[in-house]
Amino acid sequence: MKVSEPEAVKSGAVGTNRRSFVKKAATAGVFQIVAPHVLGGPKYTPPSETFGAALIGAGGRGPGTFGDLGRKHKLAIREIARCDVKWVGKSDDKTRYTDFRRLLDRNDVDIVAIATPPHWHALISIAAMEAGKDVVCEKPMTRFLAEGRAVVEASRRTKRIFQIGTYGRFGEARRKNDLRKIVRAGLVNGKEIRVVHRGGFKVRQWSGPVRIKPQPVPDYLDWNMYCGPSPLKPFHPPRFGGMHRGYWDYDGGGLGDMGQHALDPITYRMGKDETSPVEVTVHAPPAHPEVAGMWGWVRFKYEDGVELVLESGEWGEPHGLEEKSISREDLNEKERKVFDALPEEDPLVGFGDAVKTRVLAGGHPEVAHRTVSLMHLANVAFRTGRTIKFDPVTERAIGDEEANRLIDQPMRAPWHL
Amino acid sequence: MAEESKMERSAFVERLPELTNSKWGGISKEDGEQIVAAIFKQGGDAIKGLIDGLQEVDSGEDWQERFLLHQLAVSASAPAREKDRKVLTKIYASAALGDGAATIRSFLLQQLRYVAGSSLAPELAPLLRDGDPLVLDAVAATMVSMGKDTEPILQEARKNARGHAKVAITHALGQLSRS
Repeated sequence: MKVSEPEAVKSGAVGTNRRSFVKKAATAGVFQIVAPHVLGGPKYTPPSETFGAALIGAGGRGPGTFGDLGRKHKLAIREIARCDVKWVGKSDDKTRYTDFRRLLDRNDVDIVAIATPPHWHALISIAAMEAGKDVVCEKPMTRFLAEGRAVVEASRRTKRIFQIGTYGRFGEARRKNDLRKIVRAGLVNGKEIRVVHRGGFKVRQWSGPVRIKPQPVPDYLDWNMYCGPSPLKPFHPPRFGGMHRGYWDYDGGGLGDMGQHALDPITYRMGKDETSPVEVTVHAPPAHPEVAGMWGWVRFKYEDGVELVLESGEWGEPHGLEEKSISREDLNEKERKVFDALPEEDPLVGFGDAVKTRVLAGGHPEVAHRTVSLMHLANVAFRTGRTIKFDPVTERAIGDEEANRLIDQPMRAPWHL
Repeated sequence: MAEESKMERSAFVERLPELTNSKWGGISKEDGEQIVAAIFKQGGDAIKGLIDGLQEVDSGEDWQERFLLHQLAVSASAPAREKDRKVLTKIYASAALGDGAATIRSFLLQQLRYVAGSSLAPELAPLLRDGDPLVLDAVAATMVSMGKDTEPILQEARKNARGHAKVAITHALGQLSRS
């Protein structure tokens, strides 16, 4: 397989591992790679182009996320091992693990698919990248906002490929849209621009049950490891597997489950996938200390005046604001010249191609973090019951220290960012 | 603390609607603010009455008390609420330092994470020697939330700490070094 010279320098995604060494050596003519048809036919993938892959978090979405490595990302993989905290007594530390750290020690794992509950996503992503692995991580990327910045920094530091497990931003239709180009060109200039998204957040479905009696921890489950960086709480089934989405300790309610799916193509379309809003206002009931509950709407305002409104349709009165979009036709002559002069963006790179060529993936950590930050800011506003003023550069709430205590949260020992 | 439902619960509990299918359906923000304001107006006895209603095992039977105690902390955490913050944090800290169940003391310490400033850290310092891991984890997390001003207190506590206390304190210092 011929590999073009990596464009990774500008992206900072250059990584010297055995894959890139083989490819660079082949390009330089140091040695010859035998053509596939000589070994075993045109569809044969030589071992040098097959990636060792592991899954961490084998329940729920796990098998699907792992299967996507071949199906969606078109990577030739061989499964090395899986890890799950519910395999106490069944792990062999060869193909089945209960501790992800042991799995990440392996040199034959090149790629990790992460499908644990969200409170583990950041820590395992960082650990995997520091162990030299590329990562596909299920959404939401993180459980609280500061985790995302740590993942971005780890990706840049280690030069590993990271892709968030949502793909709404890919596709030609979304790339060619006037709104993104208008925002990128700095042509907002006081124009009223508002994107409104209604429904699909499963708010009631993923509101955690409150009146649940604790139960003995099942023998097959390492509950301490499951809780991990979150406080150790009494076990009951809703906290584990599926309904964990309804508890602040592990996730962010319906917005945690569906938010990144819905928001990723929206922030891309709005040209706001590399920044954050400066103000977040919500309409929601007072929040419960343990469970993610109902909400009505959330309104994000960006520095240039562009707005995004999410309405759940499941609580309270609707916001009532309508979408206000804009196209090239709404620009004056001078603005159209600026618009037309802006070069087209390159197509987004899929995870599979990013792994092979070491170019930044389309759903890379910065954009994934900025998207999931909307979810986190909404939840901070829900939980504090007040409007949040936010600095997109420092990524801190302004004048609200207590909101900052939700933006960056302590972790239980021994876990830390 | 309360033993099952025999002890009389705070009257404020009755002002919250029932759960729907064991889920919190919510009340309007205005209704919530009114209840919280009424509790603050009644003062320390009303707050202590809610704390007295907490149960050692969190099975949801005291969800109203937990909800209201949390809302008091969230409300008092808003800017320019120093007076309410002072009253509340003093009461929560006093209960956390008391002889109640570790689960209850841990819950109150978690509420202090939202509302307590570093000036409360010296008062909480004895809890860094507590025998219960839940309390140790919770007070360490609260100290981290309070910020780097708590470092001297943590460093002092670490000198003679052993076991889980030493782990929790060292870990808290590590997290503070990142901020």
